[in-house]
Amino acid sequence: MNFWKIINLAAWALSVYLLFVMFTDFFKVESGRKSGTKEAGELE
Amino acid sequence: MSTTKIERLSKVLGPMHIWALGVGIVLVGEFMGWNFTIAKGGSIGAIIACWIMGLLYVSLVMVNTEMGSVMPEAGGQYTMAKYLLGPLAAFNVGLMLVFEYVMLEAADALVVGEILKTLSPQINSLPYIILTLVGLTYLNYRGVYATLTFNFIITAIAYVSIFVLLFATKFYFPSESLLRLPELTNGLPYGWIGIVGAFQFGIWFYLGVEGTALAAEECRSTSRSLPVGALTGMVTLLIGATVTWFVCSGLVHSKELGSSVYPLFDAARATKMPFVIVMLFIGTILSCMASANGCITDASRAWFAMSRDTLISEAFAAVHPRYNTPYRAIIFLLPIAIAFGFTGLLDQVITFSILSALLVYALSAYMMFKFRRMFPLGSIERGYVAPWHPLPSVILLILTLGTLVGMYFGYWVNMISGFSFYLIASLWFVLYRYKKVDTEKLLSAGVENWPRPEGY
Repeated sequence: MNFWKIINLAAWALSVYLLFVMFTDFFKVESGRKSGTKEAGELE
Repeated sequence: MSTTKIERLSKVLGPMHIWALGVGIVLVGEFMGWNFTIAKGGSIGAIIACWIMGLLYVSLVMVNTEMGSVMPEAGGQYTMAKYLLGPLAAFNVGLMLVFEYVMLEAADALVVGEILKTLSPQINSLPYIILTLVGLTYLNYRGVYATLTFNFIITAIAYVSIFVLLFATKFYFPSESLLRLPELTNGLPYGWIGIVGAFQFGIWFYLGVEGTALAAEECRSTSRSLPVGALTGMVTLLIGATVTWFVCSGLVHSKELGSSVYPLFDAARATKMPFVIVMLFIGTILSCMASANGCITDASRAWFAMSRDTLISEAFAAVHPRYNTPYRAIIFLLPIAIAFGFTGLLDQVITFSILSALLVYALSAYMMFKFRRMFPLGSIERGYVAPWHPLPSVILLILTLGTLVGMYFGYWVNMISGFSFYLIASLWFVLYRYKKVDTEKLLSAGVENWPRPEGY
């Protein structure tokens, strides 16, 4: 496998990793809101 | 009385961040796109169009800054429209802002992928387009302070790269200068009508600088940060635009320059200096990233503000408990930007973005007249007063309509499609959404802070 193919794969991997990190946090916040442990927002 | 808690964004931004937001979104237009003015109006037509469009944007920034400095809410021109024109116009302005910035963001990411492909034919542009959009979305998700500090750094590097190119030409020593303006420029081949034709591409030098007003709510002091950041940003762009024209016209023949994809990069290649070529390559990529980054910030603020005001579903009005960002709006707009990026139709995407922007400009001129009539000078405290009113609004309106006419000759199908889209969206709003709008929430911030407007 040549250099550029590895770089292409690394870009894919980094994109997937960032999506994973962002959505993990997103769902954590959303479940916090549902269970009422949120610090800000939502209807009172 | 509503018992709903209103979500607020954190106040962390200063003039530097507002500068980075405005200049960051726009600077990509100096690295590509503006040069089509040369194909339309010739070398002299291009610089005249650049300055006339500069006049349009100086007027726009003055108008926006006066209105924005008294409305410290996210949403910029959308917020102005909701107080000055009513819910239907506000819905349309909000939608136009969202599409202007989301489409520009998609176009920027497409260009990053295309530029990287020039390094090697084995580079596949798709992962880099996705990585750009996802990476910048994540940055925006994590906090506006870090996002716009990052934007400041990459925008400054991209801007400096233009001056590296300028000084590399040794323009200051006529005997050694690489610039050959008399030989490479073609004057005004199509006369004055060519200048009008060049308007639609001349706006690339400044398109998006009005986005500074969208971060009004997040400024530590809106009445200081917004005028200082927006007006210094405009001066930065006027200097950058003139230097860009000067250096590109002196290094690349007008025939090639009029159809170049990356005019500044081509100008750097004409110097045959490796360091300058690398700097401009980096500058081009960073300018695209800065633009996409600022577009994510602005589009999400417009979407968030519309949601908080109940003009669209309230689901997008949530603020992240730790990062204080409109996180749902930021994430919601990501797949839309990716979808536009996947179309690959760069010119169509950009044309819709420009049309949306021009419609907002025309409405901004009208709003300024109404603002001064409803709240005359002295009736409310202004952070900035636009001088010579109504001259800036008149100039803004005339030049915007002139640009729309110029655009009609080349892209009339796109314009009719765009108008049809906003008409259908308006029908949806009037027939379905309007009955769900909470007018108390919509106007509460203004009602609390301002006296009753004159004539109401």
